[in-house]
Amino acid sequence: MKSLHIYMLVFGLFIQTVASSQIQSVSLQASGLTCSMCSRAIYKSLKKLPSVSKVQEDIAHSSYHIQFKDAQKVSLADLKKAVLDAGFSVAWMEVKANFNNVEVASDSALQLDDFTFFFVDIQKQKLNGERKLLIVDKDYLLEKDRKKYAGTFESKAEVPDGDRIFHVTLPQS
Amino acid sequence: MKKFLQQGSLWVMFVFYFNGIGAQELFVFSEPASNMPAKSLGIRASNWLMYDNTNKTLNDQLIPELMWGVNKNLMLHLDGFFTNQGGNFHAVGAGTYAKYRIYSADAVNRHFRMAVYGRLSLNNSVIFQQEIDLTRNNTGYAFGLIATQLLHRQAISATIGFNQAFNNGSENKFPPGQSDQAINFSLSTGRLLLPREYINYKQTNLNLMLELSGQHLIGDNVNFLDLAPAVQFIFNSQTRLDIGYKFQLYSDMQRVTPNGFMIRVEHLLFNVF
Repeated sequence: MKSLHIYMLVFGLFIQTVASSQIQSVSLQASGLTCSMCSRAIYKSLKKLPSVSKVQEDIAHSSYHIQFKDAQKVSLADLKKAVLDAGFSVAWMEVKANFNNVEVASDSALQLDDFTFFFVDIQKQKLNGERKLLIVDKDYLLEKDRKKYAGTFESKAEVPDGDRIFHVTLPQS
Repeated sequence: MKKFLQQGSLWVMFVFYFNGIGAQELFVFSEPASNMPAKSLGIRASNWLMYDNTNKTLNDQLIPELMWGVNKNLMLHLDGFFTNQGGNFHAVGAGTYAKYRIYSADAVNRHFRMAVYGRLSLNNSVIFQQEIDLTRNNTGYAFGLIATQLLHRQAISATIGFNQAFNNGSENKFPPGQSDQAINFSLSTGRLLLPREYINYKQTNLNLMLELSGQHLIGDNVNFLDLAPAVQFIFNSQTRLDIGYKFQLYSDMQRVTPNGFMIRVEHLLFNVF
């Protein structure tokens, strides 16, 4: 089951779009904390990652806006691990990128940098301008929020590669 | 709630009183189920200034401590025990403490966590009381369970543990006929007073804590119950200053230093390893 997506990719069963844009930034909210000492632990843990250039924190909401030195070397799994290592969990993580007329639909795959994003629970549409992609995989979204999407993709396949392939949806903004 | 209050349960009243005020979980007289960040190092010095009822003197005990966040679930402490007991200030022992987080349910601004802990202490002091205290007076080991609920700005934490004391070093035997096993328990809560709103990491935090702790000696069937209010400052989201006063609410066991102050400074170094 785990290799199903790779298999489907190889045989071209998914509509695959390669976007020319790069990941611009990542925002995340951490869960399980209220104190500024805890918040600072997460800040320090994110800041020490080699690919990260800047972390802007919103202590009141336990959220962090992360910019990168080199988008090619971004690891979303490392960002998640940084939050876990500080002792907390990821409530949500959003990837921001610029799009130019990129057509997406549920089950379509989007290639962005080295990442493959499979869309779930969206209408067929064209993405333009700056858009955020909300990751809906396990440990990247609170379980209670993830349940909304779980049924839409878990029966098809799990994430074959926890570092490069993700399921995403378009958050309502 | 009414039913419990009618039963006169001190524990429930304690929780009830603090419900909804808001708290943090960096307790002064107990450990929360949460750990320090992975790969960080904490340096702590706790100075206990306790009134010695028997000798009518001030007992000054210093416990320097190194704390290491091994990974997100495991943390280790190493501590040394120094005292002015008997005149000059000298070392009487050392100990190690480990805490392992076994359960976490995190949500935004809240969590429920559980951890198990173990302690091993070596002490050369003369044993002069019934109370078993593995951080200040006794050689022995302890293990137990901690559960902590953080709900928005409120935290409540409970600990239960088993203590086993042995003979102390330097020929200071455990008094024969005295119970060498105990159950320790604690219930802690606190509240965040300042800042009202977090803007940056430079803001000084002010927390008020209130903790109940007690011990039951197995065999001797005697108990004590202490109450300990404390004030806590956190500077630069990195350095803690705790000032607490612990006093005896009830005891039918013989204790030498049940009442006094504890002053602690703690500094956290992030991403050291």
